[in-house]
Amino acid sequence: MKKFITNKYVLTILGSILFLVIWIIISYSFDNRTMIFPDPFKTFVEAGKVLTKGYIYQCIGWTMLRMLIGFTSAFAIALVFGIIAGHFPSAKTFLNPIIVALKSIPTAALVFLFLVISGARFAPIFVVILISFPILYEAISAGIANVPKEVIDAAEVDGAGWKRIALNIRLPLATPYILVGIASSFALSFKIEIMAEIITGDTKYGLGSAISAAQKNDPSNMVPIFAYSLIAVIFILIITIIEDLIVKSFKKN
Amino acid sequence: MKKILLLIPALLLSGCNSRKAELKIVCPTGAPAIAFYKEFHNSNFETNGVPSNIIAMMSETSDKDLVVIDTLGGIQAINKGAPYKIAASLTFGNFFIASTGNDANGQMDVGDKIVLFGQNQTPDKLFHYIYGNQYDEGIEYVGNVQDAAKCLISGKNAVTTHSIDYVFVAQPVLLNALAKNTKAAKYANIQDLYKEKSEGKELIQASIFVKNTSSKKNVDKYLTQLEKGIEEAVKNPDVITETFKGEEAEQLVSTYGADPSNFVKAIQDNNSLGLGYKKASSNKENIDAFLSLFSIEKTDEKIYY
Repeated sequence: MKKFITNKYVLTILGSILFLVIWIIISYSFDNRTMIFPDPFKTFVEAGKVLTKGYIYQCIGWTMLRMLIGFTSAFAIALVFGIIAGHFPSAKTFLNPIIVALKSIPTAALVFLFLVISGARFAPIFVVILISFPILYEAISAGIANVPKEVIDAAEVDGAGWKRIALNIRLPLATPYILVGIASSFALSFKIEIMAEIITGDTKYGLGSAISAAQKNDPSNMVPIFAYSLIAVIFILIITIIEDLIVKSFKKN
Repeated sequence: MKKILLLIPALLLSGCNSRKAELKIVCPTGAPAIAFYKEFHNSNFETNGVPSNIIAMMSETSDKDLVVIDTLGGIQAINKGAPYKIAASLTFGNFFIASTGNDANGQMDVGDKIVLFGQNQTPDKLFHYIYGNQYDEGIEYVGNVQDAAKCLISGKNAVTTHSIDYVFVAQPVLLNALAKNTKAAKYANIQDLYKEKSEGKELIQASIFVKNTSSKKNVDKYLTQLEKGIEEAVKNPDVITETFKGEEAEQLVSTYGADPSNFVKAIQDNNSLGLGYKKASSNKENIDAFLSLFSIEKTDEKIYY
């Protein structure tokens, strides 16, 4: 019995059932649930209909593309600054006010700037960079800084310069930290991308644009909005599973 | 080899020229967007679902030759230095007050619950210009026209849980709401009430603004085409349906902000969308009268295209 209830798959199924039960309870607490909080049955049926159309795949493709550009750019910038900050504590202190500002600045305050720089279609990329960069930077700098001092001392005795120490010693040893940073911010970036598409108002392909259009077209029907959201959730779930598999295989090696 | 090397810049330059001939246009989704029904496949035409974002595209560095925005927002941007001029107005009001069917006497009285959207913005200012402050104790504000439509359909404000008697709403969502709440009905046409109150002045909503550096020849040619297209659609709204035949429905909804059939129905309903085309320079008096609601002084002749 104990083995049964601690089984990973059983727990996942039970968690999913609980999620559906909570969804049904909330939905049925409203008189007009179609307008406020549609039930899972209608949502799944609508999601099925949406998935038969080519439009949704173009939306997922564009959302994914912009998210990947934003995330990769954030990772590249975070890698450079994270290595420097992790290696030189004074650089970390110097960069701290900028990182704190980036973490706390409301996205809406910078939307106009992003629109001017790149237009509505690509502005979400900057929103993804703005939000995921501090998370990645902190994971990388913490990983670099936490490499045991003895290892660094030994490398210095062997005559290694700071660049070699940073790239050949600190960076590989910081990989678990970096992977945790990637894992925690990748799925978040997808969610941010969808939100950014809504606030930047782009009306071409994108999951956020599709949600926004569905809401404008028929404000009294939340079912299509929930259907698009459900598809996004399932997509993020798939990404998370793939992410876990990659992290696991990396740890094994 | 030399010839090929010479051809490359020539081709690049010719590419630049052809790009210059194409005007870049941005427009908010909703009523004004449908004026551009012929531009669905034009890669230089884009719409934006957040009207205030369009203001950001009126900067010096913007590549947009033609910007459609609410007249007030556009004029305010020009007054703050945006290098644009107002060319024409495209929508002349699509606002209505609808009754939810909850008011027993069917007459808007003091104490009735009224839902308005856009606090301190055009709908709010228009309502108070027409009715004064007599109904203020019963007014409840919602964020946008979609939320107002929800109140009209359910007869309730989901946020305050109050029963609602009247809702200030706009087309084309009004038609959709009326179809869903059979007790609801149009109560007042704001355009008509504004005209009455202002002694014959016309309500001005969205206008098209031209960038100062855009080619006059191209702009003039385009505006003439736009005017013809709008006249055609107002006279025979089915031309919109014809134009969109076979297009992907979801992408049309996303680009224009509503199902094109709703726009068509609204135009067929005595052009309740308020679609039209009027040169701004010959409509200065109406524009100034409308802007005075927002305490904006008379516009300068220089800002007219």
